[in-house]
Amino acid sequence: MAQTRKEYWSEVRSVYKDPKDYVLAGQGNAYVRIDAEAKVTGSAIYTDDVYLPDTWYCKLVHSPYAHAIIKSIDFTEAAKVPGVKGFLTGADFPEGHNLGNPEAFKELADKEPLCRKKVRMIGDEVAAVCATTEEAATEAALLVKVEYEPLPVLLDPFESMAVDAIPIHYPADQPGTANNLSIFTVMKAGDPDKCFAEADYTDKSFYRTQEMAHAAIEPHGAIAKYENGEYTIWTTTQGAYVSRYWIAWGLGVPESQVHLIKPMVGGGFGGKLDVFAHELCSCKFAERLGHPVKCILKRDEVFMCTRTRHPISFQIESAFTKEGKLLAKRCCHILDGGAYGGSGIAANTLSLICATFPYKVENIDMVARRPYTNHPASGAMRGYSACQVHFAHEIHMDEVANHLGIDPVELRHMNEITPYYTGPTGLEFTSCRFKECMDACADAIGWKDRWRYPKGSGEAIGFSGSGFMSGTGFPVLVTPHYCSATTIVRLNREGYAVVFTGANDIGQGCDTVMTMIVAEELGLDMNEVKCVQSDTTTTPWDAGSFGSRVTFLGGNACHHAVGDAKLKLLKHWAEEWGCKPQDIKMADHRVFLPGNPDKNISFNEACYGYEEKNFGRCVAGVGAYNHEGDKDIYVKNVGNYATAYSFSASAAKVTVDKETGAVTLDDFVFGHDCGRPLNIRAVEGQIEGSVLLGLGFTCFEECLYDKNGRHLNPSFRDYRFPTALDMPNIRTKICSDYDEEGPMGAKEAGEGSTAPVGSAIGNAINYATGLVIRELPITPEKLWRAMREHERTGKTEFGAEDLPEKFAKMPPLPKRYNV
Amino acid sequence: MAKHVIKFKLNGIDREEYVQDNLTMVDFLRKQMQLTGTKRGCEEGECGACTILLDGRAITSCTMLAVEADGHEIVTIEGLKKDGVLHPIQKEFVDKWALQCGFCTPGMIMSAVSLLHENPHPTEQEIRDGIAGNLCRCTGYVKIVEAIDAAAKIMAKEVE
Amino acid sequence: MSLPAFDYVKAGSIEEASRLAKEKGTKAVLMAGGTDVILLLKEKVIPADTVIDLKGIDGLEGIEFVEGEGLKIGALTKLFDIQTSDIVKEKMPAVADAAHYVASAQIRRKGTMVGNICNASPSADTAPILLAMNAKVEVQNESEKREIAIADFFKGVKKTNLLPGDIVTGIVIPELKQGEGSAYLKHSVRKAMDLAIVGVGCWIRMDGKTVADCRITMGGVGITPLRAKNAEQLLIGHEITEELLEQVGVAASQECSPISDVRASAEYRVDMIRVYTKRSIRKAVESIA
Repeated sequence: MAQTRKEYWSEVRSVYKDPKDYVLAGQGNAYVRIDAEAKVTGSAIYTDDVYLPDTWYCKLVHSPYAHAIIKSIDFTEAAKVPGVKGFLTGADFPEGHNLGNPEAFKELADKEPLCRKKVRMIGDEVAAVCATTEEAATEAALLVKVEYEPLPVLLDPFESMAVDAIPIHYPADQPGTANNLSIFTVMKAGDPDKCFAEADYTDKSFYRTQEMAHAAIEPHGAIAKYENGEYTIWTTTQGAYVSRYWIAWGLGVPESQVHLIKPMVGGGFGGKLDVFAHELCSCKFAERLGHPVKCILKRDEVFMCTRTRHPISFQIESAFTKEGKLLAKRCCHILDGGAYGGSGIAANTLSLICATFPYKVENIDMVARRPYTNHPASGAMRGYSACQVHFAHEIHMDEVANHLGIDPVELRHMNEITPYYTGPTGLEFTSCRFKECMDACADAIGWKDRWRYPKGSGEAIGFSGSGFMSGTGFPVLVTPHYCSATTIVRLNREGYAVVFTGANDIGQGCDTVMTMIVAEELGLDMNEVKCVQSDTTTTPWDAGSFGSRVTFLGGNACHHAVGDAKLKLLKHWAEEWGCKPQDIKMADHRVFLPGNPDKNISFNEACYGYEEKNFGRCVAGVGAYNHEGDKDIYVKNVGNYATAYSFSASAAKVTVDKETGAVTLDDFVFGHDCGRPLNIRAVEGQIEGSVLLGLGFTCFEECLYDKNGRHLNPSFRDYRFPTALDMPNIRTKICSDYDEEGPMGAKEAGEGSTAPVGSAIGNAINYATGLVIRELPITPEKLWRAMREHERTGKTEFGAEDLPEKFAKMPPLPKRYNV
Repeated sequence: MAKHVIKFKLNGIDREEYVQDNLTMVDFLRKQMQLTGTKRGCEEGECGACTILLDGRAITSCTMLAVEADGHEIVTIEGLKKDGVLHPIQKEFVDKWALQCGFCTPGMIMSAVSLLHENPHPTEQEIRDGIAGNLCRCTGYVKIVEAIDAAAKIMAKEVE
Repeated sequence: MSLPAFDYVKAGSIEEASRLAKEKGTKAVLMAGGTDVILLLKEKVIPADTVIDLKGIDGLEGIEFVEGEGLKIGALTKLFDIQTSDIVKEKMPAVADAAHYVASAQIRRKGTMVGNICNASPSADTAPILLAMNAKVEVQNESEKREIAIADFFKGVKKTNLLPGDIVTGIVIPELKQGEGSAYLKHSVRKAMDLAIVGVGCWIRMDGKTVADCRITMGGVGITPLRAKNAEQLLIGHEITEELLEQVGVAASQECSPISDVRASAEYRVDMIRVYTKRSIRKAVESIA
């Protein structure tokens, strides 16, 4: 019988430190970020800070049309600009080598490095210019003459699915079925039809969320050089290895000749997972011209041609008993995929998985479709569809509660997922403190007393709950044993250790986590552990920062690596001292057998002794972590998606200015089950950042377009996200249990925390106004419009009014040939 | 278009530099002075990532020409440490975990320096108002406000 | 960040700036703080090849209160200094409020109030209060000095009635006398940084409980800041009640002609004028010492 992961690592884990001896992990604020000093002094190096001698600059030429055929490209005028050194078009890259995200679904890769025949969104890259200065390249790019033949533009995902819609990529291969689908997912379990037929209460509601941008303060960019037949590229990536795979593919060169280095990254939030034209073009120019080439996107380019959050239209039907037990759920999610797939593909399935928790529902009938449109490509964004899904489904929960006359928190308690529950599609929940999160939030916000703010008075409290994958197991590339994280740890006899981690720190602090895990296990100080991060030459494989996987999977890989090293070291000393390896402790720079003063040596001596015995060979440990899963989860939609799940609840207090529609967030409480918090401030920081994203999502942010697909607000002037004056103080309640599988007991905190925010605020706005708003963002003007119409006509439900008809008219799905 | 000689103080040191008319301050610092701590986030005065001190007051360097520095004093994030010791605001940012990706951090700290110079005992609202021109996407501002508040108290004690 | 090529000239005197501006016509742009000008150059909205920096000219910065005249604000005075000035906060706090609303602290420490009105954006935050308080714009052209009443200053979107060679040297805001108050309120989506959806300024003189005189001004709802004269007439001579305020608000909202744009619809702006007219009047009355 095949060995299990647990069995494989059991000897390594046997020398793990006992959690009760931890001096760093989970000990309040016992350490600071290893990169904090560099960041507060301005010495941290981000991609745009990388300067190589004789660097030239690349600028991209973007399509002004949302959908068009490229007829010709003329560089004559551009070539006259002094300093211009070269041009690129789609033909400079091997045909058919499209860029995507999951390797297992390589056939879905649909983005050419530079468009060859057609453009599918405003901002789509058709050419690139290289010049000796950024100014010259900018000037030249504006002089490149491209002739287009415009095509009809599809901006509505329902219009895009119409049987006679113009294909954006390829026509539907089954006539009469929905067009332009980049992917669709079906998930069924139990007997929902029977439940709906027999339930006391059923409903059908529609919701819609908007297109949102990641808006990381650091724009995307890359700098590449070409030497010795190898490309070296520094780029703003969330996943060095995955990016390296696609860049090599796009260039048509072996992966071994692409060296990708991730410098400090100024935030990603999912927007820096995919591979983009600026990376491919920098590499190609560097190779052709023999100079390092840098391409940093301007803010409007970041809005236009990187990625956005999927707008989702929802049709949700639920069946409940009159006492409030959730019997069945049907839902249909339409994700506006934008022009391309890439990291957006996964969001489709994920949206359905997220809809199956945090409540127990055994009977489900769920479909998600992701049609292409001529919007910018939608991709992964923090919450990876949980944000949108839990908005719709949690506003819906309150609607159900209000109809049934049951307290909304009670309704949630009645249906909450409990520890060690397995969902109908195979999701294996292990540690779970959802109940406790909800209790803590309800208590802190004063939920029992919520009618101290009478309904419609302009002030109210809202509540919501959610869950998230703690460590999406999916490795993105095809890897041995579905492994997505690996680490190497080397012990140095001079009194330090080096951790080579593939994990990609984009600001969330995983480098610090890795350093801490190693320091904790070896009994060293934080500054005695050196972290080498995310570089395809020096560090081993890791899938990247997404799906909240880094602390859990990367941390476990790191823990295994240091455990492996520790085991080797302690096995040597166990033999010397006549004991078992797990009897020996490492703490405070000492390696010792407790109770034996003569068996107590320094870390340095311990390493030296090992190397002496082993002819100079140093102690090195190799760790990895894999999830027991396979890529078919995306297709079959059955199986366990992650090794653990986090749970959250949140409560918001808002004040609505009933004359203007302006919403002020006065108070916010967040309850999170993240396992053992390895550092309380790091966890709080992640939650606080999530609340900012959630407030922006609910009340401020929206990418707006005209009917030609032109962006109306590709700048921070009019794409507004919360300033310090818009944000309240946030109270965080950690309600956790040590998770068995998590590294040092930890689960995730970075993404699950975005999921409940929007609906807590949305529910609060609804109680404050006495209305139900089903569409985001709830800007002052939108709320004003709803309130004024309510005064005139008595209408109480607003938003998504066009969806019932659109859903009803949708063409059918094609029949799947496989599975 | 010509080049001008500018004479100014940069991080405490007198400098004389040749700058082109149309060079912005942020590009001058990053490209010509090789001080990359000041960041380009939007280049239109909306995000605050490029904030520096001009005569001790925080401004966005993307809305300033390099040539305007003539006769003035410029301090960037690199000039805040004194004799190898972190400024109290820098130290509190580290201790309170008031940063994550760190890209907004230099600009945020420079705004905080200016704020505490103008208003040594700010309320929480005044702190938030003082940094409203520095966008942060990671932290939700909670710990940033905490760090500035803590630094204010420490700096007030030092003055006593 | 690429700016188009231009010649930078630091003027040593008003006369020099004036002459050069006249000589170059539309090819020259005057710069004080530069926070608007630099961005407009970058976006190629201003086709200038010469930038005339005024900051080298002495005597143009400062805030002075002169009894019987009012507040004199030099052209190079930064918005931040107006916002934080004790004398402004004491004598006419609404002007400090208006300055405070502009963009961010960083922009305000470099940008000037004169620059804000010369840029003449329809949503400029300092325009409505200056209009409400009958400010005067002091101008010098070579060696000739004159004054422009603020009501005659704005011409259209990003257009003023300044002539070639005109250099604005300062603004004079008449002092608030006994029984007089003023206010400026801005409506925006976020609590900071945003351009105004609408802004309403109000100057009011009370005679006991009766409104003796008032001026209501609106920003963001026309090609220039506007006076709501019909609304003012409804208010003058009456006591303030909720019903009257509502009528005045409605009247003001009918005197504006906003556009719909990415920030707000015309319909919303119209109703926000109604709301903020009421609030601004109330605040102006409350501010009366």
